[in-house]
Amino acid sequence: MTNTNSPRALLSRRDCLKSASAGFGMLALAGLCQEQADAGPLAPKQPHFQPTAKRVIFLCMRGGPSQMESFDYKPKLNADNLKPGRNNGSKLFGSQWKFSQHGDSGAWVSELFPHMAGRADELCIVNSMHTDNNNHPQALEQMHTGSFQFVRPSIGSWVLYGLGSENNNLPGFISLNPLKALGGSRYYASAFLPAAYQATSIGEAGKNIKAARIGNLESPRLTATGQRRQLDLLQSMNRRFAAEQSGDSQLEGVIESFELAFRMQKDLPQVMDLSGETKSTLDAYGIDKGATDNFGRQCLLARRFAEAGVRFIELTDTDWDHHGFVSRLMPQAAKRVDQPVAALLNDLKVRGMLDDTLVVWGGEFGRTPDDPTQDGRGHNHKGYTTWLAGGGVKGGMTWGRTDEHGYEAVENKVHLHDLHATILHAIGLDHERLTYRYAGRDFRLTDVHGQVVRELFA
Amino acid sequence: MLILFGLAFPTESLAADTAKDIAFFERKIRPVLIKNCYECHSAEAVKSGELAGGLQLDTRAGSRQGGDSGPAVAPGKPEQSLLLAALRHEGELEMPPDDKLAPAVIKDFADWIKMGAPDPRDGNPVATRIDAEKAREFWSFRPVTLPSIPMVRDVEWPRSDLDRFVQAKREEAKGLAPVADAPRRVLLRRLFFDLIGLPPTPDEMTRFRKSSPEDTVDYLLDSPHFGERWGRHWLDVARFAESNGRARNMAWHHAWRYRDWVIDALNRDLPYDDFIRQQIAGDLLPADDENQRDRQRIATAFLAMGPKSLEERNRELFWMDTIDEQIDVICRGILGLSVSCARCHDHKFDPVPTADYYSLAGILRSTDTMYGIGPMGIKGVNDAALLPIGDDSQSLIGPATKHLEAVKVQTQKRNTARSDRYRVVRRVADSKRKLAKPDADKKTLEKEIAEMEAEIKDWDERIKAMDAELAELVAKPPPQPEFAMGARDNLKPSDCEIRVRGEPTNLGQRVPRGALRAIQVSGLPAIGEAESGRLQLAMWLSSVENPLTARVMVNRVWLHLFGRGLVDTPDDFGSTGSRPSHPQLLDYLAYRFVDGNWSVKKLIREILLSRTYQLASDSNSVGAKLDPDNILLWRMPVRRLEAEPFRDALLAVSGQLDRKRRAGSPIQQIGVFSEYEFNFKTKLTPEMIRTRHRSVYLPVVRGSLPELFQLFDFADPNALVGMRDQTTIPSQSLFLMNSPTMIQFASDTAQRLLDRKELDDAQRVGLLYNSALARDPSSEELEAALQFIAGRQDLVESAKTRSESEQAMQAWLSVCQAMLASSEFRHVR
Repeated sequence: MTNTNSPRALLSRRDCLKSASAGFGMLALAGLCQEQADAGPLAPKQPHFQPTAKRVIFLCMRGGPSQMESFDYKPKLNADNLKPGRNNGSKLFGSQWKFSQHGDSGAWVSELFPHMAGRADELCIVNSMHTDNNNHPQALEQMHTGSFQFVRPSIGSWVLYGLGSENNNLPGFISLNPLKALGGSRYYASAFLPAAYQATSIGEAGKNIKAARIGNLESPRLTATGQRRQLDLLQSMNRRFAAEQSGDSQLEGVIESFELAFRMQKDLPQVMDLSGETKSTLDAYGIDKGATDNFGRQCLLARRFAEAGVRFIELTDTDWDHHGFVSRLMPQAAKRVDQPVAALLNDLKVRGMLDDTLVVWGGEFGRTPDDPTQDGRGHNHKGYTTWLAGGGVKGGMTWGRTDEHGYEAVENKVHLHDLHATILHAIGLDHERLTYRYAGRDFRLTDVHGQVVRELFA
Repeated sequence: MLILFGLAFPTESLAADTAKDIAFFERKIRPVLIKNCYECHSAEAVKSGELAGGLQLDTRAGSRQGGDSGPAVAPGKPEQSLLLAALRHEGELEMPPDDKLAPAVIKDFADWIKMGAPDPRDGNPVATRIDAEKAREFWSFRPVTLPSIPMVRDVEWPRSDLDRFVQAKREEAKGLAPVADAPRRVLLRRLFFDLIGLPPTPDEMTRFRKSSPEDTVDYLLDSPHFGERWGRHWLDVARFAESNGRARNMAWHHAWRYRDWVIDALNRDLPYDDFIRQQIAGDLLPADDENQRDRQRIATAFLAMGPKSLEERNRELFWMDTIDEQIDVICRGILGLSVSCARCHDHKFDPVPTADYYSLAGILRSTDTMYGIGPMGIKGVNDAALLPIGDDSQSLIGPATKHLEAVKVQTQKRNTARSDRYRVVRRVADSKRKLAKPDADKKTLEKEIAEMEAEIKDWDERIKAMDAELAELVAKPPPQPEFAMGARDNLKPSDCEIRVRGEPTNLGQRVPRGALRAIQVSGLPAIGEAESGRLQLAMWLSSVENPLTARVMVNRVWLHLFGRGLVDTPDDFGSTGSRPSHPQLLDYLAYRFVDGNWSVKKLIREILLSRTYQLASDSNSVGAKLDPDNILLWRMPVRRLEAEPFRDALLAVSGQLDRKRRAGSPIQQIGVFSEYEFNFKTKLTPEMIRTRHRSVYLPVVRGSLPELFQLFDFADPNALVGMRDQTTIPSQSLFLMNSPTMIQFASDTAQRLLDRKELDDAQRVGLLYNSALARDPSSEELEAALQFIAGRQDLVESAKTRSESEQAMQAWLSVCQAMLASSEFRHVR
């Protein structure tokens, strides 16, 4: 049984019946289940304990951003430039960009990220991340689902399953510009969790979010009056049928769902409409300013979705896989996201929302400190950087470290499973208790792994 | 873990341990063990099910014997003592998991082991062995017997013995009475959807309204659409798909043959034991002719259908994952047993020791899984061949294979050239950067750059030539044989070693190939050295003595007819699954199923002709209070149509349905080769999805399901799905209200009505209700529809500028769409 500690447990009616032994004695329990099932799978639920965050914004940097060019300062690597590296035929390759210390905390940040550096005292930089696989597709899958071997629910689905949604007129898990290639759809899917927990996707990776539309969100045919009239006709049929089959909550659910869909038609475009934002806000996010436009829009949308009560919001920037031309590609990539992300942090803070919004920035792995050509870096899953901000984590903190060159995490190592456990912890969910019974087994996001990194919390 | 390590270890003498040494243990070691280790490593932990790693540290014998990873304490040999390595966090084990112990404490352990690990704790670790005898007492492992027919108080109500079982159980709940029988038109619509997944046409309604239910049932069981409906139920279990899914998603051009085999098998009522045997070992069964041999080979695609990470570089892991998936689908799909846990440890709940898992694994490791080719442009992907079928396959396969290999070689050669060229490009960039520096040796650098640029040009030409060569090769394939996915015995069958903790390279004891020991059946031949053992596995699965096979299938059939199985966990008949609500009825049906030569049609017929199945779907307050979930079957629940019958009904009502079988699959049209993966988003054209054939023939590409399938809870083809989800989410409603797909169906339906010039509007509404809902509209419903049509002016933009007939069309379209989106249309009573 799942999550039995909370009064409105994560109990589907099916779970409930599954766990009760059959026979007449179970009927009373079945009645109990009924009440919970009627609340619907997306009704808000109590967390396991007092959370420090209410929602998560996950900034997915697809491709594996280089830690040596961002947040993991490696003076020794620079000093040893061109000395033989660990990988065959490669030489150590120092960073071409200057690092300096920022904020009261003195966190080291590369000059490629001046805006993020300006928020250094809000960042909780984990330099000792590691994960299990250094192929993009598998590492990305593990980053999203905890597993690269099996099809498992996305972390966003787990969060929604655990906490439900706070807004009746919007989806609870939204993925902006999700990856489509390399098995992308699975990164946002609910797998064996009920389908209601899957992400609603908007846009497609690599394209500007500006052009994105949600499927079937408006009638291509009817006027507003016409649509309401048609819906009235339909709902009168539905109500009559539900009344005939008195007490069938599924049929009542259908009626509700049509009304929600009707409201979403109005609300979702409103949340997505940036025209009410001031010029200074748009400028702060770098919207309509070339390189920063796409991610700036995503970040601003993320803030608007967060305000509207969406539980888990994921944004994607796609191009961090720099095997060559680091000198050109890394500044481009940094430019795309640096200002928008900093603007998002600032905006959340100004609105008093940073305290209960956990923001996570990172990729599926990091990069090697060596390279045969001296202008690229290979995949490195043994040591890389992810940072967190807001949502109760300590700002101005750097946790863990890699070896002197940055090959692998050596101190206070944080495995991806630990990061997942920590994210769940922030929103008040115990990763060991957030389980779902499937195929005769209780499944978890962290499988049998994961340790909450308590030191990251204020 | 006695199973892994055989006999219990002899107890050693205490004589060697001096009192002083013992005192050291008592003071320094035992308290630490109790505080930090016993929770997961003790006899108590065994009892509470918390035992980790098979290690019990609460006895001397247990500590020395160790767990899954080997001996924990080797007296006098700290370097060989895993316990110490774990405490020091040296190896892969880090204990205790939360915090490293203080250095001083760790040193105590080192000293203790050095002094010979004195330890006064007698006794042996408790057995964690699974008791197979006891396990066989669990309800689902007991032999299926024919229960006696129960007595019932109300002898008038039951029509059959099936009804008597239901009635007897229902009478235990005081005051719970069955509702009335379903009206004939409701029953007809129910029978049509349940048996063939299509609504009755108005003509069929007229034809069967007056005849007996027997006639209708027999007509529908004989329909070729029966297999299309019931075959799909099995395809859910078989995780049928036409691509491997996962990261590099490659097309499976021949998967459809298995789909058609399943449909045909259901249509010709292939006995279920044969149905299972052929899917596990059809290639090894005798065949009268080539045709039958090929059919049986196609059946083995059941083993090949699982999702696969072709790009996984760890071959051994890939192999064991593939086998794991096969074991899972065999055991859950056919036996309702989840055994995957036993990959790493003895199953906690069910009688499946790790050794049994690897007995099965040995059979599958001795089998080649034939799922097809991988991406052409990537070296080292996990390719597999396909089974050539057909008369001419022997002569054609040679040249075809050679050609395929040539394409692959050429593709990779060209790709290597591309990366060689790219390397030069990067060197040029590098030199240009150097050139920009003030102290650059301009002359040398410029010369280098010029040389390299010439080299790039040279590469360009060579790559162009290679591209041309490749294009020609691809364009002129030799005649191809027909292929099928499937399985065959490999050349060197062998037993498999246990993978300790499931790690592919952590080899333990070798276990003989075989089936699960908890289920014994007689008359199985031994597995010969030269054979995989799949034939024996197939015989074991389909034996009349196997208690699970028939029960699980009967329950699947029941689930599809009542919306809930007699066992509510159709894929889990183990201890974590539900218990049957009507155990005797389940056994009665299972017994009759086997006795009736495993005929699925006979089984379905018996259920459909019962009074229980033919009840109305009405609810009442007594029933809703006493048994809201209808476990005691006092009524027929309202059931939602799954994605396929919903879409098929849309096609039927809008007059678009093509009832013929669609030959093959559109997946065959998207080309055979792909360099990295197939981009199904562009390869699967809207025309392929918009087919007028039945939905079972739509392409099932992992990760690229048609929108309607995705939204309406189609079975995830990545997983075995015994029972589909039934979700109600707003994106479904948006689809029903606004999607071009729905509008097209509604438009076709409206056009059909308007084309009937001889009808007036009221008659058209009547026709719509009859074709969509198999009933006449009530007077209020008729009135509402007519009123809607009358108020047509403000429905669409610029309605006023449109012609009268266009306005009428839009109004009818809206009414039809409301009908097609309505709950009654999407549910079966």
